Amino acid sequence: MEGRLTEITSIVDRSGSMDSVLDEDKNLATVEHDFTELTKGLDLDFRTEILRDRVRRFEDDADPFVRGRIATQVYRDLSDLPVVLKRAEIMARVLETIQPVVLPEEKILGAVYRRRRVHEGISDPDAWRVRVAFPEQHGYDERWPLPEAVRQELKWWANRKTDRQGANPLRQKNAWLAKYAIANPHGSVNGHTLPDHGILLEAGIGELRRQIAERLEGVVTDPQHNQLKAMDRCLEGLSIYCLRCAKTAREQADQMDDPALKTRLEEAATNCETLASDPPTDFYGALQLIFFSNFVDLTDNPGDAYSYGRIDRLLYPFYRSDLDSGRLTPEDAFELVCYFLIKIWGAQPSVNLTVGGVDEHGEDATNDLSTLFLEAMETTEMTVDLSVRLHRNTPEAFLRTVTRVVRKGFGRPSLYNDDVTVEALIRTDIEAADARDYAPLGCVEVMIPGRSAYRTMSMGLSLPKVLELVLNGGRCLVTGDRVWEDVPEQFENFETLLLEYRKRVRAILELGVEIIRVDEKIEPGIRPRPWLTVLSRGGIEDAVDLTAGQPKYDPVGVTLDGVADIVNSLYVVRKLVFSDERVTLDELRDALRANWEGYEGLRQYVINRLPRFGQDDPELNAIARAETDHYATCFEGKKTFYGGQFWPMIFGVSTSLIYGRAPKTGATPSGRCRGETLAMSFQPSPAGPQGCATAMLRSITAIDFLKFPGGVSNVQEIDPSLVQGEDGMQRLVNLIRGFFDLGGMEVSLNFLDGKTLREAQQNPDRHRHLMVRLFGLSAQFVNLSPKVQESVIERVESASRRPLSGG
Amino acid sequence: MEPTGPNERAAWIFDVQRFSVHDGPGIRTTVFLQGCPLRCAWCQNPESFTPGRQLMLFPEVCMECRACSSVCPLGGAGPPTEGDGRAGACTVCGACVEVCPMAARQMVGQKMSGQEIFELVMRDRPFYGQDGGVTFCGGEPLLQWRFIAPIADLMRRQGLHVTVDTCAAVPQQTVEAVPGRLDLVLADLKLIDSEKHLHWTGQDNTGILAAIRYWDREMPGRLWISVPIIPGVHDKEEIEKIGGFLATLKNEPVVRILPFERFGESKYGALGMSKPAIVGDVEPLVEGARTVFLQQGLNLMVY
Ligand code: SF4
Ligand code: SF4
Repeated sequence: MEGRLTEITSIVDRSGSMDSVLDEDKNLATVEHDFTELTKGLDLDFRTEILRDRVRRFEDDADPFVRGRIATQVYRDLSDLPVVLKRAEIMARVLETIQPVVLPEEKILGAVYRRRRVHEGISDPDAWRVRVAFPEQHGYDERWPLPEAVRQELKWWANRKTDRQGANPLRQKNAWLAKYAIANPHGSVNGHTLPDHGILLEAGIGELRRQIAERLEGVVTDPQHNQLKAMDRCLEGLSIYCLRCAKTAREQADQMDDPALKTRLEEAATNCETLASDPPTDFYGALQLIFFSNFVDLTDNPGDAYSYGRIDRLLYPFYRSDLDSGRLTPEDAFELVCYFLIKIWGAQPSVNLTVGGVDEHGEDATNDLSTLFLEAMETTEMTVDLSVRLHRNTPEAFLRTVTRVVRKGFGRPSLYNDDVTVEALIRTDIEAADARDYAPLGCVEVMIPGRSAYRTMSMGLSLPKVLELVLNGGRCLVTGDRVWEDVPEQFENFETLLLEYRKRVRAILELGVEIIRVDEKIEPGIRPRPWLTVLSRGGIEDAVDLTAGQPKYDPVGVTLDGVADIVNSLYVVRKLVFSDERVTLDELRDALRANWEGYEGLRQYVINRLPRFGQDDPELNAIARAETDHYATCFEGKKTFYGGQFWPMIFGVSTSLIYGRAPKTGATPSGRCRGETLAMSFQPSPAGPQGCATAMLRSITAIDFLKFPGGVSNVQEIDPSLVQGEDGMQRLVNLIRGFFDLGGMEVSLNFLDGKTLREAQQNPDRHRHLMVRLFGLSAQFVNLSPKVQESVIERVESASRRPLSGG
Repeated sequence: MEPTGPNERAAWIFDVQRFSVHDGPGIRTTVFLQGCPLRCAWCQNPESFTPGRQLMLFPEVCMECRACSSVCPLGGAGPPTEGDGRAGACTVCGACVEVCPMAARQMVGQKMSGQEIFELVMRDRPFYGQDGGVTFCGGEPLLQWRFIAPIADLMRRQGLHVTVDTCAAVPQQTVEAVPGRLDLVLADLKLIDSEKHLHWTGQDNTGILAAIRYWDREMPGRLWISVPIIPGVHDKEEIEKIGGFLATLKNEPVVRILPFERFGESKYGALGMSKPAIVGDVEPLVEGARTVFLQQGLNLMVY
């Protein structure tokens, strides 16, 4: 105990002395405290152990029916209410109804949705939890395991149209895009959000409501009036929720014998009471309010990804002033952040928190909290979706902390390269200061907090499917349907084939853009977002909904699914048919139509004897560069409905098994059979020899990421034995630095072996802590559906398969 | 013997491994050269013995398609599952390798120019950092010192850390040239008893011990010694002698224990050679070596 005290005192001393010599600006850009040392001496409150256990058993998970019932009541009983007020009413009523949920061990109060699924189908058993909460979108489903009273109420939706059905006639007309798994264009905010929580932290609920009241005075039009009223209703709901949490905590405090817990509950209650009207006055209050702010978003968000933004920057002023006034020690702050992370953890979180990076002037903005969040994640082992922004001037010590946590093997944090991402954003229409303030939302999508709408993941183009159609006279190999009538059956040379293929890609993207624009246009009429508008800069002033073009920027992020299968396939066609003339185009087509049956020799030759993407082969690298460039170029000059730009992305989530794409894509020239996984993003094709880590990373950087401002997902598997020990740590630092120096944009690393995963399948209870990194999010392995578990194991195991000979 | 390669502008290479982490500090690219003056009974790289193309056959992956049979100009190629699989007077023409879909037939050994090696190694330049770089390995890379030295100069000018992994059985001239041209030497010390050394490797160790002493003196802090521990070859006495010798070195080189591994055994079969008869459990020996070396105060590197 004494040692601990000395340590704290010495830290306080250090910070005290630094104050006198550093001016404020410099304080903002330094990591002052060595939290590694600090956490070593720290015997974390035993209660966090209990708490971790309780949250992993989902004890404070909110009732999934509450929102579903309320939405039903509002749509049923208040059908004349303008939609923006309906949405606000649902949110407010949820906040007035849902259990406050106070676990006595915790410091941050409020309900959570820990079991929400980010992407449906990843974990089948719990998928209904999101659907039942959003019946206006998903309707009613007999199979949901509902209590009878709830079922009766939700049945109201049984024969009703949900708000999405039929909304976009252009999508319906082009249903073939999804039917044949070619692309999946959509242009709504769709659950991925990145509000500026700083607006609420700075002003507080009361002040924002005052601003709305003031703004209402000058308003004459109905839409503006409704918008402002809706925004106010959300704030009112939140205020009430603060008080309800406070009340519950007080009641528990009164019953509590343990004096320490009693005090803790009382402090929590006071904290929430203050926040009901005022801005937070300290670090604790700021953490509580930002948690609430995020929760309000969740009540309106059908289950995807809701992000905190640059949390180290948002909270720093509170932390700083607490330290300065001596109210808080770095150790207290660390403990609070541990509680916060435990609070926001989920089985499959896509709740992105960002730390590190540059400030608006491009200077390093890493601060104490950047380190503290990393250390807290390491200590609590609560793997939230932490993202770290790095750049060429990131302090070496911080990079080492990051690397250490990366090596723990949570699959997090994911790492972003500011030097590339900021430049990519500036090349669109983003002002430099805003570009430098980007943050990932959801998994790895890039947006500007509070200054952009959050339309992202909006294309899902599968290039292997396009090639399939082009190679087969426009026919789909799976259904046999002729999708395009006018594709030539023969090609004189590879160039004409490539031109035809690119022409089709462009046509699909042009059509996709039109579908997206219709979605954008109709969205405010279906699903306006009054809460997000409160947290959008200028939202109150403009009195226009976020979905209706209110934000400063209106980009739409458009995804390309994966690179390896198309690059390998194009190479194989060129090499086998046109350069080596080993087979004719007809023979290759016969093999593909037969799903390679009877052509095993050829298939094996392709897999084992030809170079593949990821081995740093110059020819394959060149194809990867050219085809990704072509994809990005197709969006040049196109405008989103509200006048923004399309931001190309490379992010394969919908590929593979998840949306059933693999079975809808026929055999590919790369040697893949129908139904087998399509490699997503930059993953190598599962079959055949693969390149080592450096070869893989070099192959990826053949792509010009300055053309992909919307973000990319790059999950790499690394054999843990290669990065052991102090030397291994330095190697990992070098690997990351090297990748970013080469123009890499993002990377997340998994250090897993197939054996551990298989063991976890056998004994899920013993492996509840095991988190794996999927396309962009990390998820509790034992909670994944068996199918997805298998695909993770397959990926991990294939990563350890290296070629025998590299020379 | 003159320290010269088969060709001073090109060398026979049997592998280049990127992201190599055991052949010196940091992230490295390891270049494996063919040709070796020793024939250690436990060698795991039999394809390194002599420079040149060699056909390797891997029956485990053969799909018995007989594509090889149809192209072999001598008519002797066939599935290695049904016999040796290569033509009796195989000319290593490579025709069968070209068509084998399973890579059950591989040609190992290719001539690479210094420029080619340089370019390949430089692909990973961004990952080497301060401490990483290239390791020339083999076979015995120093046999081709005239080939390596200029490439090493060029690489060091680019900031790469250049290392050679050597058996130290090389001409005195080369031994003396190394300290000024390389950053680090990884030298093997296999046995102290010279007769045993002759028996197990085909050469006595007089030159080897002299080379190690020389490097210890001339490149302090830039010498690592690798001690292979082989069951049936090493015993407690020999290990103590090795430790004793190392303890006499003035500049306390880093010492690494390399326990016998069997991962190279299948390559003997693939080359049509009989595999080394090494039997016994290596772990107790390794444990013993660790204890002895620590007792003797050596600068032991532990993985
Ligand atoms: S070509 Fe290869 S796979 Fe076919 S029989 Fe010969 S060795 Fe076996
Ligand atoms: S290398 Fe040439 S000669 Fe030797 S087995 Fe193969 S085809 Fe026949």
